[in-house]
Amino acid sequence: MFSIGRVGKTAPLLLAAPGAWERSGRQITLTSTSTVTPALAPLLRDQLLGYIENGDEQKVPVISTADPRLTGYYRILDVDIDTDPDLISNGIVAAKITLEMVSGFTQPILEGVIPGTLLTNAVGGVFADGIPFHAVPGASTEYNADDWLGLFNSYTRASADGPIALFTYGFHDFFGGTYYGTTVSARHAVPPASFYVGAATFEQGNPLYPVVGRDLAQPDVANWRLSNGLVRVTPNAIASRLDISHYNGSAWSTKTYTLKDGAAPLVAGWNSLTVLRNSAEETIIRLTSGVGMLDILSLDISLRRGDEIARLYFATTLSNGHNYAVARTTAEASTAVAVGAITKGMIRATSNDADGNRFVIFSVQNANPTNDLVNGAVTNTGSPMAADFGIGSEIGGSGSAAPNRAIDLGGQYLAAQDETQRVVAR
Amino acid sequence: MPVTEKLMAAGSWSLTLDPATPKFIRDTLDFFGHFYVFDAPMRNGLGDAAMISASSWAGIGRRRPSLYECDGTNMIAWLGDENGKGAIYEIPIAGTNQTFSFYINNLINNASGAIHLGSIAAGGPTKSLSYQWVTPRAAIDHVCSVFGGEYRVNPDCTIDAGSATTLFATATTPDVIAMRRSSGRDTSIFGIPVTDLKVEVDAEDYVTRELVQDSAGGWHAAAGTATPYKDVHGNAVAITEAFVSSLTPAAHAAALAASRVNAEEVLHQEISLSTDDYAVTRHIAVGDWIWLYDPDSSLVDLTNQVRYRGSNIFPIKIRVLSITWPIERGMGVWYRDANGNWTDITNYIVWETPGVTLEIGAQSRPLTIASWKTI
Repeated sequence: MFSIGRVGKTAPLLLAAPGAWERSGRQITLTSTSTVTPALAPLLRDQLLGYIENGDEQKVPVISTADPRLTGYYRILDVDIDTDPDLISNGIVAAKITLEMVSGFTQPILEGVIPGTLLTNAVGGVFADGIPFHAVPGASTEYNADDWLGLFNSYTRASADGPIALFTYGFHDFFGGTYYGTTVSARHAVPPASFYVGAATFEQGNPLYPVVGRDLAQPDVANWRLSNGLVRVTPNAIASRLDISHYNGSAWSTKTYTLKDGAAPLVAGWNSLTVLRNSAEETIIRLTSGVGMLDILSLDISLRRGDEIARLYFATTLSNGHNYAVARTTAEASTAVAVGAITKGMIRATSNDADGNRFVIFSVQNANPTNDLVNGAVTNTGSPMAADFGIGSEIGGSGSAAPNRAIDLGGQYLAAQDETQRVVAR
Repeated sequence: MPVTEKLMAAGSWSLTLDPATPKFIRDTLDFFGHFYVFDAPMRNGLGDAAMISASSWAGIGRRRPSLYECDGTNMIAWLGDENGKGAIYEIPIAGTNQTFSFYINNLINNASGAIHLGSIAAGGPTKSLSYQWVTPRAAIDHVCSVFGGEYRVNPDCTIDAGSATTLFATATTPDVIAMRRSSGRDTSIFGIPVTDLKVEVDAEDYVTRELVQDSAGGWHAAAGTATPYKDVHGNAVAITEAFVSSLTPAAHAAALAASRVNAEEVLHQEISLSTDDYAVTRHIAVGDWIWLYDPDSSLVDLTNQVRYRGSNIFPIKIRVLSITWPIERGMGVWYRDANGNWTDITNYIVWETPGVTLEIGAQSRPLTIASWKTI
């Protein structure tokens, strides 16, 4: 096996081991000539080119089973590919890749810089309700977070990629006790082979293949998938619906949700799909629909590593806004989720579904969201220009335990966090 | 050479003409004529007012380093240049218990006439002040320092003055963000593409106590809050600055000392960022507040929760104090002579390489908020 970052990890889109390495100081130049099917050759080329000036994944794991002493973390300096139509038509991709070793490249530290606070909300959520979290691959070791002043809880979430270590905190612990203004530096080490366990990933095409970087995603609004090993978001055949799947440790369970403007479907179709961020710790995409000739409606969907909630954000340029809503497409009786004193904008299914889970829908940033407990929907009122939604699943339903209960997911939704992970020297 | 715009300062600009520029065009470009830049080429015959109104920037021509080069300053130099020259008041412009607008109006109305009144904030507290033997710019700087105001000179040679929050609507909610990770337009916020971000912090101007000498020669002191810094023997750092202010009456000198020590008992943070955005002044004006987010540099404020491109981020709100931008291909450049005749010189410009530098955060060192030293 030979892989550079996300490239070469997914059969049949495999990367051939380089014929030779040329090393100069900390810099390594390799040439890899891979043979795939003619249809896959442009995709493999796109993946490699996606690492040029890729700010989302500046340093990535490189894995070489043929020469394991070179396995480690590298900064990708350059990728050169000569596109020869004859070669591409025969499925051959020849790439010259220049890498730079990270200091201590075989065992560096991964540092997550994580600012965060209570999600601004209009439903009465307070700091004590929020549950900040940080997730890393389960094979990680030496986890340590600055500004950690008190207790935290560690859990394992079973993802389709393998186990994920999840650390949850109270705001008082994670963001510097009473000082709330602290950005956390959380560090861990992880073998290169486990780097992408639970990583946020955007895939596109039919069949789906990972997209590297932001620029080479195709304008294909019908064939894509956003996932993190715990949650998968895919488009439905009907544009105003999303299919969202959750992994319970052994199988995926899928539900369909309808995006609405009041009672009506939100859009007839999406015009574009943009990758806003594509890093292992978080991937964000944007679907955009033109409304008439003048206005825009956008839907941002983000997934963090370890998150059981797909986070949606609707925004429009329309002056009269929308009464945005998210509803179960098939009506499902629901119950309000009482996180602290919150009484609206958070619901879960009343009963376990056939897979033993209960969906959750959250929307807390606009005043007076309406819970529809008959059909399983949350509707914003007052025609806001933007609205937030979280869609998740209480894995195990009525038998779930922390951190997967609906009340826990509500707390995790109330944690507004950002994260940038860097590979640094010890 | 690019254009440098600075908050309440003359800045600078220069442009280079193609060697193929005809002599009759070069001869047209006279001293104290005005150069106007537009975000796009302009067609002839729009009329004087329309051209001025459509411009994005204007400057005064003051120097010809060579046959094919011109440079100068921004319009603010009509109030007084960087060497303290200008329409110096030879008779006192004074008031007793008068407002900010009283002084600004009188100072402008008794100056050379190069700058007209624009929007001047009315009301507010009253002060007794007098100005003589100084330029309008020095006097206006002082009025602003005493009242806590600011001003700007527009391409149409009018002056707007008032509080910073009155002059710049972005004080409440910035509509531009700068961050390394992402850029682009959201529905209500524009992200400029950041190509470089530099954060410099120093204690070179740090003071713990301020002494101000008033116009009558008396000294007034103000102490800062307890300092966290110590010398090698464990004593609290003691740094006193003496500041001579010949324009400040005794009644206001103590307040000036307090203002200065408040401003200077903090570390000086200077942030500069570069962007390759075209005509960035379409989005940002000098004096505007912008969002700036860079967790790696600890440029984070958790009290500001902003949703940008799908992420919840926590930027600091910070002011743009200076913008240096290139006169680049795609723009229009016209010259307006002393009689109001316009000449299109767009076709003769040697375009500059894209790349904009913003200085944000701290004030440029020579111009402290509470002083009126000209630049």
